[in-house]
Amino acid sequence: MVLGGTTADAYGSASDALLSRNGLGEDNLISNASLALGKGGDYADIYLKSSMVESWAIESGEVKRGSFGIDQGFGVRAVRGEQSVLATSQRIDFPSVRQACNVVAGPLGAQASNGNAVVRMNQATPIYYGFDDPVAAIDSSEKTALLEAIDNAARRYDARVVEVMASLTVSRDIVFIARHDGYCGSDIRPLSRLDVMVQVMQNGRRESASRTIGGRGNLGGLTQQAIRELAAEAVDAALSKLDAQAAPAGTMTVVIGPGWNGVLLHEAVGHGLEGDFNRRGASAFAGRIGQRVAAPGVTIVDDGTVVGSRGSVNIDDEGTPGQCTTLIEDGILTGYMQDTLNARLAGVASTGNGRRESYDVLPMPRMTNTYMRSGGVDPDEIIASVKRGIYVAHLGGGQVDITSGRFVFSASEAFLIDNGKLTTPVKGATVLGDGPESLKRVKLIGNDLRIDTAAGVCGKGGQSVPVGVGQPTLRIDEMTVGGTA
Amino acid sequence: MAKIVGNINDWKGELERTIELTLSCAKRAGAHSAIARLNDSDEISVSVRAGEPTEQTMRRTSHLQLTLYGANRQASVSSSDFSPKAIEALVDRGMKIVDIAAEDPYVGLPDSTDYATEIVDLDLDHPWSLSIQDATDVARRAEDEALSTSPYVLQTEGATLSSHRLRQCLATSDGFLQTQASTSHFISCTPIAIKDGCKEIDRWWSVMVHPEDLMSPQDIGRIAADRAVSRLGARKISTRSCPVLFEPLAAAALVRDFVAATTARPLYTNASYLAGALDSQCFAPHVSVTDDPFVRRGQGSRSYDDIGIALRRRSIVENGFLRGYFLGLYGARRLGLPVSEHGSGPTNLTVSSALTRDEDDFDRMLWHLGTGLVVSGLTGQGVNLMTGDFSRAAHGFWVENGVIQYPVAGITVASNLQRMFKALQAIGRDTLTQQGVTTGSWLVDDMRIGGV
Repeated sequence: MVLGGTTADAYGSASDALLSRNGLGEDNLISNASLALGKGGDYADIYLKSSMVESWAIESGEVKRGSFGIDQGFGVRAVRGEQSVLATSQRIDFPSVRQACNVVAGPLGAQASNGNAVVRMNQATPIYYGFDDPVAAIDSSEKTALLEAIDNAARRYDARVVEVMASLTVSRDIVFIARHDGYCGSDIRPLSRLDVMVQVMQNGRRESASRTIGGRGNLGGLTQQAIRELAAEAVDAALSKLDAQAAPAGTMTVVIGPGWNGVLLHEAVGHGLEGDFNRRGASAFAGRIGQRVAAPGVTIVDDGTVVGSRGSVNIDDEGTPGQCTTLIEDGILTGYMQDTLNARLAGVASTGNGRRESYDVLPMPRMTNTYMRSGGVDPDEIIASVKRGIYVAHLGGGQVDITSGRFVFSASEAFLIDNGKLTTPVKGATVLGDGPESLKRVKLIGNDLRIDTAAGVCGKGGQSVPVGVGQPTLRIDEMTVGGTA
Repeated sequence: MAKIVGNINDWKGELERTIELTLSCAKRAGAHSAIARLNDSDEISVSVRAGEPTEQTMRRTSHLQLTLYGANRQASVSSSDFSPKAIEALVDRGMKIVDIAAEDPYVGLPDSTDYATEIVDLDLDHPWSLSIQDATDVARRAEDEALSTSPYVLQTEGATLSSHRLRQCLATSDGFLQTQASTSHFISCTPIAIKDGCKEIDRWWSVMVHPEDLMSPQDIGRIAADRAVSRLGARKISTRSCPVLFEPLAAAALVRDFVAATTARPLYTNASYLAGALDSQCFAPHVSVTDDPFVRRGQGSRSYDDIGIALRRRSIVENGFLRGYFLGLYGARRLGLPVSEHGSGPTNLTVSSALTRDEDDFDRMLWHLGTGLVVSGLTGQGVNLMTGDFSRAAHGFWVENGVIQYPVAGITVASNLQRMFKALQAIGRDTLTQQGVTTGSWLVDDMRIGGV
């Protein structure tokens, strides 16, 4: 990943792209935010965003599909107590902003414009990703060449590869936030993602596997070596599935490999520790701060400051700087993730987790990069410790019911463990657990933490945001495994 | 802004002017041909929790999508800025993509004879003149009912009403131009049931084109509460194989897996287990699936597909045989199949069985099940379309001799879609229409349960 730029550059570019170009200034945005606040409001902000995305895909050896899109608009939000009112528009100009502010002030009571707001600029803070533009950083023919290189590498690696589908998506979001309290902040968010899916065939049987790399930056620095490794990993995974047997069903010990598989923690505990569900008492973790919710040794954080990761935030979508929040420390529940609304109602500070998919929806407490810290056990020893169980090498997606705490994930690549050794690959294994219970059954924690900075997309309330996940190798006893054998 | 009302003439001209500007700009830039789609939507959405308003959103969004064609080359571009300068820049960007893209003989406009010429009035535009206050009151009625249905429902995750109007204009450079409006109104309620330290959440909702077709907020609140309460005290069952009855909502999820496997891209990339399966048996011989784009006020209803090709009623599965795919123009050309036989996506699907009898309501289906599992909800993403392997988490009820014994959760159900569809024993008369799928409950003879 290539990082670049300074916060001062970013503020200037964002201000130019979203404000000056549209005849707006910081002072009139802040006075409008005050207008939106009305008489009885607690908080109001105006969120402006402009996005650009370019994407290319290769299939059957040819780059036939390319697309490009731009979108921009703003949302005005006023909050009182638990009530949020949002009005949005794609036309960014003074009359539209003024009209939207009047609309949201209505439900919150009579208006009282505050003309005394002071503009405070976003100060130089540490930055966790640069401000370069991955759409412009490499030109379109280089982007298509990258896909051709992936396709080539996969086909050369093994003759059983019958199809390679790869896509490159690069985007840049520019956001500007003005609040009723005089705060103005901005961020420029580059994002790159390269997905490769390979299909292999042997004796008429087909299987596939996929891998992803990327993060907040551009992929201009990607080496041929890295491309070959990515392709090889995907092909090896697909080939191993050709010999896969049906997965067993029942309760058993599960060992979960590091990195992307941290999506397990995202589902098992992450969502359950978001401030909104806990304030409302809807989460299985509500009211349990200070209690043991996981085995000793289990420490889980939500960290918006991982350099270059797709879940990282220099500032969140309410202007709060990104930070690292400890959720579970040595097995004890220590914190929730908060946006400003839920933090205020809970009487705590925002943890920099106020995120929104775009200008036309309300922010919510959302994860950034959620991972478990390393333990001290060698991963090979963890596998060797299991008499009979399943080793999950790579997960598909997961889902959680935060109220009951039950979560599920699909093991897209898995192996049986027999007498401490990996044996037959198995297919179609779904693993299911209860968040607060299964973390207490964590028996061994590897010393091999890896964070996946490339692939996570988290859905909540109809909104998708990019996230990072990570974990070391973990052994969890008594998980429910769903297969056909 | 709080009211969504309008006369078609107020906006039609404006949308069509933008579309015409875009297409003429594409022509000037040297595009062989082009398709432009403009979606312009208004939405209000309100939520209440504990009787108080929580979220109120008023949203207006417009998106222009443009597909540009060179000689057998294609680019897709989109924008929310319709100023002439922005459109020109967008077209310019698209033409640069056209220059780089590899040749693809299957791209391009349809034959002019394939365009829809008769546009049926499907009665799809029914704006709801509803103030934010009125909308909030309707949502509140759903929540109130949920809270008063059972002493175990002490809180909810809210009740929501949203009302949406979409204006769409579709035009191609060879003269197809259609503009129409449609509406969609939605009420939902999400209660939490609590008993002995256990919490269970569930949800019910209604989505309709016309507000007067919506289920009453009280009915939605009551059904949602009943569903949440019925899940209290859920147990796991032991690992076993047994027959499974999928409630209509869960059966509809299986229908969507079937649709995903009969869609163009997985078919032409051999990523679907149904690739090359046209006219072979894919369901039990008593099962049929039809697709009808012309249902008045239907959620999926439309006269033409996303490229302007006329749609028609058709049989997708006939006595268990696969008779149709969901391909669209590009997919049909790529698979060498006639365009007219293969619409772009499902409109209003109905699943039926020749074995279904008048008396086959849900209770009768429990009797057909005998001893086994009722699945009322599925979670997770354990469906492999390439192989049909199916393994998902489930919750529902354990049934013995046709009588529900207790709620079940924390288990998995697994099989293979090919097997499940061919082993479909019966379909109930307890039909439900949600998101363009109409089906009763499905009885599958034998699935593997992962439990204790």
